[in-house]
Amino acid sequence: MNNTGKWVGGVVVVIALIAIVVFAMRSGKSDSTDTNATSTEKSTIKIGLSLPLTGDLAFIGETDRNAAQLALEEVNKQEGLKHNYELVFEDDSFNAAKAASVIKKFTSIDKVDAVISIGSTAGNVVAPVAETNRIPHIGAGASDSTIAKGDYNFIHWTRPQEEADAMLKELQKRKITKVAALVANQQGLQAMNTELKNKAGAVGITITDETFNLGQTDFRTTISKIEKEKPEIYLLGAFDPEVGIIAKQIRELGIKTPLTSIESFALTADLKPFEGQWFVDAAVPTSQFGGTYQQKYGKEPGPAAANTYDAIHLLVKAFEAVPGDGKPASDQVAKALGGTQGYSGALGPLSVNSDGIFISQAAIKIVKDGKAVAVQE
Amino acid sequence: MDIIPQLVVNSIIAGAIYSMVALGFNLIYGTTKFFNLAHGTVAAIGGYTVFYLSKSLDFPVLPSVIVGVLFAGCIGYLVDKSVFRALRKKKASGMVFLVASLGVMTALQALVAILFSSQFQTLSVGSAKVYQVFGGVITQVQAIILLCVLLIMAGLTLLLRFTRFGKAVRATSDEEEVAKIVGINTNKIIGRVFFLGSAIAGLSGILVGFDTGIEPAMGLSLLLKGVIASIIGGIGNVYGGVLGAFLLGFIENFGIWKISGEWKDAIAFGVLLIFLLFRPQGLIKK
Amino acid sequence: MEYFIHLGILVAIYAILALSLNLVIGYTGLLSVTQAAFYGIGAYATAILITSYDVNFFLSILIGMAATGLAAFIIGYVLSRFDGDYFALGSFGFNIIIFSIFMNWQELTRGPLGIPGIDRPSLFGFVFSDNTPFLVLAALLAVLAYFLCQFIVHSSFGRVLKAIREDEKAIQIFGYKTGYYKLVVFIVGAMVASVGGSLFASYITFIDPSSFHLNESIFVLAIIILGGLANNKGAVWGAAFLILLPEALRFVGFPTDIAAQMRQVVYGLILVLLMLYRPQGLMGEYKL
Repeated sequence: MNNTGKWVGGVVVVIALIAIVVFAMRSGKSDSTDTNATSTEKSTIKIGLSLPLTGDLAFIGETDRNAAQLALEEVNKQEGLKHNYELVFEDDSFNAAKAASVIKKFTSIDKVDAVISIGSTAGNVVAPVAETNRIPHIGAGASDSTIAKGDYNFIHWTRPQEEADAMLKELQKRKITKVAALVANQQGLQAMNTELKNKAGAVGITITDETFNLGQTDFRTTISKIEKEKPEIYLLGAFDPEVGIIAKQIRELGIKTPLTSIESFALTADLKPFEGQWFVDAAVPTSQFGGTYQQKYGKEPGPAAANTYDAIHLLVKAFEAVPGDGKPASDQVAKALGGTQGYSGALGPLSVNSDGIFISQAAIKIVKDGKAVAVQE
Repeated sequence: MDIIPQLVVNSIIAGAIYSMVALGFNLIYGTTKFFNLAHGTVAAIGGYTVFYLSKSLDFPVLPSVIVGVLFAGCIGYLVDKSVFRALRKKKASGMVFLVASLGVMTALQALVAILFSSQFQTLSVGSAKVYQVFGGVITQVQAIILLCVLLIMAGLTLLLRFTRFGKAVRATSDEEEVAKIVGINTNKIIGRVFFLGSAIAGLSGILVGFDTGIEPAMGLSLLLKGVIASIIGGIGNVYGGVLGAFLLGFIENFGIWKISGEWKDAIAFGVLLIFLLFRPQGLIKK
Repeated sequence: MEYFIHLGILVAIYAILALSLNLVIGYTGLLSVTQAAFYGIGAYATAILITSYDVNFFLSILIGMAATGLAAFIIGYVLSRFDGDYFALGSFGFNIIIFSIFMNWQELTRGPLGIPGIDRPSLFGFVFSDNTPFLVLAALLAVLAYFLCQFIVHSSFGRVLKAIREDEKAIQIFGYKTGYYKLVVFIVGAMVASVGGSLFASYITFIDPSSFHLNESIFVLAIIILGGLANNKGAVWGAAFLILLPEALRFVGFPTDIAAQMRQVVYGLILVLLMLYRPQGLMGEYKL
């Protein structure tokens, strides 16, 4: 047995532990820098965000973090707020174990007053802990309704049911009966696909669908396979970057069939491939949030950005709504959040249903001059 | 567009991309005998260099590509010089190299993400020119990829067979100790091999960037395909990697045709396993 | 504090995984990258049994081990035909195939949705819902795994494993059926890993395929190489180090915009430095 080895290893682990404890105690006491608190009378509300900031889905975490910071700026510009607000960002790499570490850090060290998580993986990990610790939690960009179980948990992602209905209605309006769907193997999109397939038969629409895994870049054969059915329209159930790649490869294969999607076109960095195509999106008005985001960051917002932005504003509103000046009790905040009706968010008017799911409406949009524009009825 | 010819064309395109990665990987593996996880990230770096030059600094395309390829080569060379050479001196095992290369991959990938964000970017310029080939469709970029693969393969064969450098490389691949005894400066040779292999990787990253796009984490999946291709074809062998790559392309695409798309990776590896069972040395013996 | 208890539980779980992999790689010299798959089978077994069939956690561990053992038997049998690098690649392939099954066999695993709502273990009416009792449970299982591995390694069976690692052909001459030994250790390693998986599932109360990707296998490999191959204490220290290090880095004040990525850079650099200056690992006895 190598004694130096034992020593080295032991020392390193001890140093790591000491580092954690020291830093943990420091950050537990002091506030982070995202605050402009001038008075010591207002209490500070900390909102923790668990996002995928590294790994394959880092581009989602990045855009959501940007959206959250944008929302915070707007909050800080408001006058007459009862509390100060600050955000704590932590990386979960879209991984269950890391998300667990993040929520534990949030509850025991940062002592956050609310949590926002991105995606169903983090959402499902955070939800039971949030409920036990009585911390309001919004799962932004999470489609799994089990996350919303309990009084403190909410999800904010347009429901597959609404989107499927809107899509089918529009297809019927345009007398389209044969649809080809390319759907990513991801919770929300698969849920939407299932809804569509269940309801399509009743209205005489056939949907041929193909599933693919995230990270795939070569869709040519899948497209060739589906094209054999000669669909009248291609439904792209994918987000950035796959949606752009699929559209490109469809055109490269010489297929001129129209394309449509559910939300994806609005969430893509480059809308040129979809010029002139209609699609189902979360309701008006997206343009205002999109415009402000574009102005500050120089690019379009990405997946779940609008939901994150809304989540921050919704939480702030709920905290402000609770009567009294001291730090609001968390169950009051949860109740206030649960009572949201008709809030005008980046994704249109939002209301909460009894399951804790934020319902927003779906609308038909069309891509004009590289921007998503509502279709006039 | 008829299905079978299109499938063939798709398979060839996929095979071409995998070939390029396999070529660079095989070259380096031959002399160093370990799985360098950072090889894929070098490909990404090549792509991002071109992205930076052509999109942010508005350089014309061809010079950007040349700079990108050379820069990728340099990065590979530097990584070898600073990390792998020291490990070779200590006669570290393949697994230590693996973990070290994992560290390099993690750090480099994160640096790229810091500099360029994790957003998916495309390098494409203008509209795609498309050619009809025997009932299938291929784009200009894809044709270029195919051309490059053939050129590089030919170039490498000539290099390895007929130049002194090539002979030194083959000697080092076969038996590093003996090569040293004969007076070959193996570290210098390996350094150059890293440069060359990484430059090829950089080119593959750039071409993939033109064909679909780039993002910081693209390296690993690209590398894996190249590695499978190399194994199928016979590791350490220039022709073998290319053959394996095309075979892999065919199997993947014809597999998707019959089975649903989400099983694509499982199919690729299933085939790999069958290969390893019945012909572990690969299609072409070294 | 809750956070540290949580980290302790993670360290215990990964220590179990590392110990299991050490048997196969460290002591037998078989470079296997399939550990995440076995970890996953154990986790899914427990998840499905607890949520759909109300099976007791401890029973589910045993059933999970059986299922994993069976999978390992099949996979190990195929892999035992390969050597060295090809073994590694084959094991890699199996990891991807099993991951695909987790992702795509939706009737069983709910695919990307994962399985939420996994209950914490209960034993004679006591439920391990608080983290502290769970830490005790996890630590206990880790200690058991440690002693099991020590026992195997110091037995005559273990001596044959080491001999296989050093020179397989030599020991075959003596009449040892090395294929049999390799298969057995592979199965044992898999079953120990599955225990880790069961713990993981019940602790986080939610699992989805993303936790069992190739990256996990590489992570566990890094743990034992860092800790020192063929050293069970090293496996445990390695797990502690690689779990605690990224968490410690969360507290270093990088600017928000690049914090997460900077941590990756530091993490990568530390791996490289450790390999450069201590390639035998923190506790390494087996200088490769």
